[in-house]
Amino acid sequence: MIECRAVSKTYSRGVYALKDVSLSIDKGDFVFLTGPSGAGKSTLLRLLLRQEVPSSGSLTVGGRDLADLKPREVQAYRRSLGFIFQNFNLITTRTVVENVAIVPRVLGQSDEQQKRRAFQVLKWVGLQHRISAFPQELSGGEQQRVAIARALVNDPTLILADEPTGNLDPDLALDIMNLLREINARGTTVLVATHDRELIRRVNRRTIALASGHLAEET
Amino acid sequence: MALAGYAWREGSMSLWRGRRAAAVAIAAIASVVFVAGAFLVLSFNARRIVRSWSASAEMSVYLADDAPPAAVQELDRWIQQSGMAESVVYVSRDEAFRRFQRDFPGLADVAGNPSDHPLPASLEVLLRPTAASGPVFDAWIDDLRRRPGVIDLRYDLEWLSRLQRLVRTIEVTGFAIVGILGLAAALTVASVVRLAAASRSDEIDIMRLVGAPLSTIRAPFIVEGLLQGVIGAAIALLLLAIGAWIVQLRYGAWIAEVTGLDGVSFLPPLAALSVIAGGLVLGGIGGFVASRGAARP
Repeated sequence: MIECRAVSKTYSRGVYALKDVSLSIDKGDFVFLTGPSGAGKSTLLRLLLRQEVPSSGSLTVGGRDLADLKPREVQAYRRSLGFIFQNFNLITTRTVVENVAIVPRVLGQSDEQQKRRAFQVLKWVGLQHRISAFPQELSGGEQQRVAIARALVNDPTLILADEPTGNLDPDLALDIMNLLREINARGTTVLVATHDRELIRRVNRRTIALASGHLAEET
Repeated sequence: MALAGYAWREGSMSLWRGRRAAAVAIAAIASVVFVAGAFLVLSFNARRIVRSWSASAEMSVYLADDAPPAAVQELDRWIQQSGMAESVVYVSRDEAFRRFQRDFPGLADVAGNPSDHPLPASLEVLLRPTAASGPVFDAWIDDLRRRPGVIDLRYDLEWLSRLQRLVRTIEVTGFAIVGILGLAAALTVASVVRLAAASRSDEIDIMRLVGAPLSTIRAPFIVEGLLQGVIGAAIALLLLAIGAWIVQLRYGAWIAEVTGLDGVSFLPPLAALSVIAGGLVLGGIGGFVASRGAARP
């Protein structure tokens, strides 16, 4: 699914965010990407989201080299992904259902289809009773569930999550992880960047550790 | 179709949310379109006056007393066949004398008596308004002056031609001013739509991340600009119509007396539509400029 070969990413003044990182993630895997702040986790996710391209090396997802994608192909590629961020990235002026429906709307689905699909995933994450609420009316855990629903709404083959439990207490964090495990059980590849060692221990899945931009450990 | 519906919904909602800032852009567009529309109304009415006066423009071709009837007939036929005249009427010396006495009774003694007066026979030519100007007409006049039997010409077209040129100059100047104001209005719209875009930057970022096509991101901003344009133009048109109505009410009789027209006319439907289209173009340009900035990664 994801093939990362000798990927390096440098920013100005030659500072390496990632250096010579090679890793492989198979379809249907659930993988933690861990390491301290500045280890390169978010950089790798930005490369996978195709917000940036590697300075050297190759990064392929589903057989496509992300550096070779044209702007239109980048849009199409992103439509095949789901992403979840620590700060939820919800639109505060939109209701829960509208936040989730933004993806099918972008895909050109009709209003009816958008709402039906958004309601299905909101029901799946247990928020069917909050569809008309605005994000600021929800708890942190509920907001992250909305973000997960949005990530799921287009049936992605790959979900990228950047510190999805960073703003949640441990119990809610485990709830969210269980939700991601359920998603993974349905065949979706899940890559979660987190520095929460306790959570990784409790979930007990494959873990790739980065340190100072290098691949430090794989368990 | 789905994109159009989405852009319409999002654009109108964004316009409503930012209605205070949008009011500035709408006012700017309304001002520009009002000035442009006012020039159009002025130019339209000035052209009506020129057309009306040109339509009744006459030329008198004075004939020599000894001009043989055959030469006069030949001259009459030559004028009619030239394509410059609507009609040609022969006025004999006797008829000229009668008219003079009728039109200037106080000066009847000056003209002398019916058998001995200085008034020449003439051909009264009603000129075609479309043909009665330009170098071809000038050449024709020169030719006419040299025709056998012609002693003089009197026509009032030269000042009408000057009036036409003046109207054209006013139009060109007016639309140059409108062009500059239009640029300023488009920039105002772009700034207002950019403000709306900045307030929705989180949404735009998310749309980019979920792979929204550029058209999906940009279209609502263009629609927002178009809406501002059409609302501004509609307001300007309404103000112009009210202005024209007030002028007609207060000065209609005076205008009719001076110009010979039935008062001030508002813009014909096609011109009014073009005013709306002008507003749409201004708003669209502003929205497009803003959308390019908003959709830039």
